[in-house]
Amino acid sequence: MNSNTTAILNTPGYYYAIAYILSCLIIIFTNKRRRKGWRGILIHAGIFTALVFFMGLTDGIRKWLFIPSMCVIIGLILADLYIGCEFTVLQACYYCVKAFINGEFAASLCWQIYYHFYGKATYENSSMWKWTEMLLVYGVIYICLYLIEKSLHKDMEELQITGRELLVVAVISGAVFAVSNLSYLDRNGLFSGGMASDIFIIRTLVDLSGLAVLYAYHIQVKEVQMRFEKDTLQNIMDMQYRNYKLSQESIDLVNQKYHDLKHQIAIFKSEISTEKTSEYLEQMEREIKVFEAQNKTGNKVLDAVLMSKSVYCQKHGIEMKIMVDGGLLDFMDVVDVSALFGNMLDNAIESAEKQKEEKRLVGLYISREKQFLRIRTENYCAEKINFKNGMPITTKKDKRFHGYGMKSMQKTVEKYGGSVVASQREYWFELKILIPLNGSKINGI
Amino acid sequence: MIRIATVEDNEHDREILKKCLLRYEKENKYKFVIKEFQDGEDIITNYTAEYDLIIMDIEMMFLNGMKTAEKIRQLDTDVVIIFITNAPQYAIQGYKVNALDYMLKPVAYFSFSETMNRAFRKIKTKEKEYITIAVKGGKRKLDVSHICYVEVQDHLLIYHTTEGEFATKGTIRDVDGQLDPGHFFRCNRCYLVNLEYVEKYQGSDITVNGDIIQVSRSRRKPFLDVLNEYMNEVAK
Repeated sequence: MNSNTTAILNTPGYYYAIAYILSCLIIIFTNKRRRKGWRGILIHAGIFTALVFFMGLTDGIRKWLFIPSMCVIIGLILADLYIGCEFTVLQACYYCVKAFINGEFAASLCWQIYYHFYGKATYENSSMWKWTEMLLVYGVIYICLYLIEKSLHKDMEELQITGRELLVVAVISGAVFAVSNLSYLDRNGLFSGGMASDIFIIRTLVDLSGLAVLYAYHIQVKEVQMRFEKDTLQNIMDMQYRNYKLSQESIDLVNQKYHDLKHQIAIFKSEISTEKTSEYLEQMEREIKVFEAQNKTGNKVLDAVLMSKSVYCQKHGIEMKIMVDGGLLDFMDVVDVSALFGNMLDNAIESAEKQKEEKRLVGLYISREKQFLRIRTENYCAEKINFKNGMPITTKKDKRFHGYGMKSMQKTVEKYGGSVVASQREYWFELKILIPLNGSKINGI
Repeated sequence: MIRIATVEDNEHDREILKKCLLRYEKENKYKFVIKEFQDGEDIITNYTAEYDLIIMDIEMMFLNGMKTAEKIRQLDTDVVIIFITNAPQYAIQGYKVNALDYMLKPVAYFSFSETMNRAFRKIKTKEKEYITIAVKGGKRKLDVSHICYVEVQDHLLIYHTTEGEFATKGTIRDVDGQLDPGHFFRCNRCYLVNLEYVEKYQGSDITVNGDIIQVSRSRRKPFLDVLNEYMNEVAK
């Protein structure tokens, strides 16, 4: 093999560098960015310059330095994605692997096309063609990839990545990278091509299939997670509704007993006439009268929800304040009322429970302000709560199973065209809901 | 100086309440003037709207707390009312008289002080803010709280206030920076709305002091979120 073939076999480092950068940019533009504006641009520019510089420096290294230099390159991509997007470390790793394979494929295809058309004859003086071709090929590939990435984000904001998902994509891409580069290490190997064109075809096709597998895997993971989310939200709704039903049943039972008791007291009073007993009976009457007024908010569903929660609060030494105009909730479905207030109060109570005895304070307020319905829960919370997009980040470790209470509330409020805002101020955590009241039930937002 | 009225028929409870108030005053370095009443009737006879805060028992002999508060509201819409009650169910309907909150008996100091903290956020008198605009033949000082919304037409800014309309030259950017973003919201390219005067929100339209203004599609969610925050911030 002459020197010309060897030279052309080696795809120039800047091909890869540009491809990696474009891959990173696509991921950065389709995900939530950590910071916008000049600072962000400067950081990316810095990392990209380092990448180009480093790849120029290590261009053509094929010996024992090859693996370490690849590690540095991947490290730079990873750093860029982690700094650029609001990713967890695992998410950044996951997207880094994807960006890497995308870049591999693009660079490989681009160089192959260049080799096929212009490489053979006029290798020396075709730099203009080279750049035009690169612009064209990268343009097409990355516009396609951008559209794919964009469509993947449609129904779901972000994918939860655990070690399992990361391991799978790491293994796939590791294999793809190894096979695609096998010919470079040993021309006579089992999966190696001897001719330059063979090598290119193998490399491009292996990269392409790797890319396809990664996207297929991504779609699968997304679908599983979407179904999981849907089921979980449905379960939450069902559970709160069941709680409400249960509470309602016991209220009905107590109500019946209460009426019986009232009756009996009346009968006793008319029959027994000693002063002491009648006094006693009157006291009893007064005492059970308290029950009559218990949690009469004007909305039966809310009453039932409040009943079970206030019993729980009493048992756990939590002081619950309620100042609500339940009549305002008439336009909402039974299921929605039970789920929304069940979730709101559960959250508040759960947080309050962790506080010291006298600081277990919870409040629920519902009122009307002009043509708006205002709902607010608050609870004392000595710990600092972290927020993301205006919503508290779950304090529970496994993200996959928690934080759904909040999501469920958001969904319910969205249905009525309202807004949910959470905040913490002076140790008080507040969850505030505002729903426009306008006769028609569903408000298009 | 903060003027507080307490209305409580039980002497023992009145003592506890007073102790809490004095401790709170000391800890927070306020200056309280406390006037004690023994029944709802006492406070509404010759009621003068002189108090910043009324702390009132609900169950009282002659005139109960709810009824008293109703009467007070007819004369004084601004005063902050906090109820005290043995049983929370009596206070559930406190919203009817626009009560801020209530406390449960026996009053514990921690809970008391937290409730008071919230009350004081509302009591702290807002300083009046003014902006000066150039109008025909001179300048005019506008009370910011009287501005319902600002409209831009070509190079003209129209301030719609409760006292009438005033036009001046300028761009919406000029006012946007001048007025508090927690208080005013840009609904679309041409309108800057005082959230205080938003009455209704339907479909894509809001009603501001009787006038209908459209909220552009991309600003609907932010608008509702800001309004949500605002209402919790200022409303009683």
